[in-house]
Amino acid sequence: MAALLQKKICMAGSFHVGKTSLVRRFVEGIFSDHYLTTIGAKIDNKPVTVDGQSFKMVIWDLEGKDELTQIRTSHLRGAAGFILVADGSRAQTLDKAIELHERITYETGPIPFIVALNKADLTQQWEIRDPALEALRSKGWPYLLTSAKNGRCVEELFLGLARKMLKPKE
Amino acid sequence: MPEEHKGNGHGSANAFAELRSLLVGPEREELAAIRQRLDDPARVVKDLSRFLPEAIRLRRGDHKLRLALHPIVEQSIRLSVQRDPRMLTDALRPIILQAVSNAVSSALDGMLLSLNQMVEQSVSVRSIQWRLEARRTGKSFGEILLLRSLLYRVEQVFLIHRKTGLALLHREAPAVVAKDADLISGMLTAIQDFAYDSFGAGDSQWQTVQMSGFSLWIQHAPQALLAGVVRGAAPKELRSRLQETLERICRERAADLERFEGDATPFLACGPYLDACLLGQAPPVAPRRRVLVWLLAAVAILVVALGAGLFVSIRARQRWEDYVHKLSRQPGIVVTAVEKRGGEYRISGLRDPQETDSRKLLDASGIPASRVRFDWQPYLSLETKFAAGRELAATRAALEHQALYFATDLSRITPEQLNAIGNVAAEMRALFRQADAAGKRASIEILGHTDDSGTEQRNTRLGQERAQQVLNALAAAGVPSERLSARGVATSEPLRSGTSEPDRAVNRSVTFRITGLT
Repeated sequence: MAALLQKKICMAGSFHVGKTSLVRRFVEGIFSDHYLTTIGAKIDNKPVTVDGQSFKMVIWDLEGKDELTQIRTSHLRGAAGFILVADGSRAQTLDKAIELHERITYETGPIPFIVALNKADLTQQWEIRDPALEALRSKGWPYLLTSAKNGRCVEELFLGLARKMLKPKE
Repeated sequence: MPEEHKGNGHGSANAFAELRSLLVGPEREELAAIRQRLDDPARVVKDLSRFLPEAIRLRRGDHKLRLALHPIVEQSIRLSVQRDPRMLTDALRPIILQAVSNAVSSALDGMLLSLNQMVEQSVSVRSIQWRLEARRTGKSFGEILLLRSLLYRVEQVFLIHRKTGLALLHREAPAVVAKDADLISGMLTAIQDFAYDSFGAGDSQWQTVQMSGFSLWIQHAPQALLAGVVRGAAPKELRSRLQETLERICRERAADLERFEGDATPFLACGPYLDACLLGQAPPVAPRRRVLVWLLAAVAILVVALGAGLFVSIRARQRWEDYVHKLSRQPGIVVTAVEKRGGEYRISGLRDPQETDSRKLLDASGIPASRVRFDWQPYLSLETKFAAGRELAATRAALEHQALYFATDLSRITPEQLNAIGNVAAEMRALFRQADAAGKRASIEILGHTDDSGTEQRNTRLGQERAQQVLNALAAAGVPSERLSARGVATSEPLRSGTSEPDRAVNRSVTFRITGLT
């Protein structure tokens, strides 16, 4: 039986920033990663409960092949929220994420999102400095320093987005 | 003069130019016009375009032209596909559809033909029914065969929100194990998007997706999809059933579909519509197979039981034959008859009374002693073992019947007794020799008796002295003393129990007891 309340969210970001790893950290899916490279999206789901409300989060993990490949905008349709993933050890992936934000909101309209600055465990190679973070703050963009490797803030990332999606629209 | 001359010179040049314009003026203008046309690319292209089609037409048989155009055409097509595949898809679709449908129908025809040929000769009750049906309906036998033998089943039905790809409702046939409907709906939508983006399938969308072992039948409406997981070959009518169901749901739930934001509760009411799409019938092979499985299991159990019984009986028989064979080779045993009555074995024959090994043989064979009855007649075996045994037994009996008598209260050996002691010593040496030959370590106890007169203390000492005296005499007569022992038994083991003088005389004696022969 399908869950009665469901929300679709999308994971977007450059190639190899750790989108799939973040999802894998959060859920245990049944579809193999093979689908990801074949049709450009890997779909997982997980039941979540925030503020006493339960629903099933259907997570579309969108492929981030390289700078030239555009994400499939049809995969964005009907999303209730999205997560922009950037690799903290490669500063240009944040620029790409900012660019993606524009493309996604053009398609979906203004919907809740969170920026995940992933690979927070790689403190030695960390490239995203305070000015960049200040820029995010000044735009009013929520962000979290995450690590799919050690699990840092992964739950907070997905549940935080869930909470934003359930808030009544202003 | 020079002025004039000069004036004349100038005048002649002008005259020459005038003359030249008079002579070749029109040609020069023409030449200039031609040059202008050649220098103006737009004009050249315009001129060329007038001749190009004709020129190519003239050169169409020329191999060089084909070689020159080939890479250009190839690259142009590639570029066109890269820019927008839909254009080429649209252009090719009529041809491809025609080609595919031709190929499919010829393949189907071929299949029907070969099916016809294959089953033409085969006859069964069902095939006769089908033949009658074919004649009645005017269809070919193969077509009827396809219709009747290919069963199908709609195992699951999904109602999917088109925009989000979320599952609105999912129903499955009894005994179908369904995976997560939400994931399947999402994947299905993603695949549709992918197909749409990649191949530009247009509004027609994909209607059937063939997977290994089953197919997905998909119906489209602007707000929702209805997908059925079908196993087997379903009739075309299934598609219209799916389409009707989808249209009905879209009509009744138009508002809910429009404002759907993840809450599928309003669609629960559509459950019966989806249930009505779970059509078809499982092939009747399953129960027959179950019966077959039981039958096979029963046969297997029977075979195992028979095998076990056979094994036990063969083993019992083997044991019995082994035992009888060993028994008949046993010294001191002559088997004359072996028979089996009911569950009992009976062995008759002759047995030397000294024979004892046959009992051990039976214990070692594993045959229960209760199932064997022996009917032995005693006999004397002439085998060395038993002959020697008998000789030893005789010597022992003779020796144990010997007694040396003493006078009252005396323990000294008289000269008359020395003769008797010599005989006893000879018998003892013979006994030891015979016992050694039989592998037995015999020893002899010399018992000193007394009569019941006198004190017990005195009698005990007297008995011991008598036994010791005899031992010393026997040792002196050559009997190995380490195999002899002396013991005074006094009145505790009298040879006669009476108290008369003849009884007392008999009790004043020394006797011998042989040990170590058993």
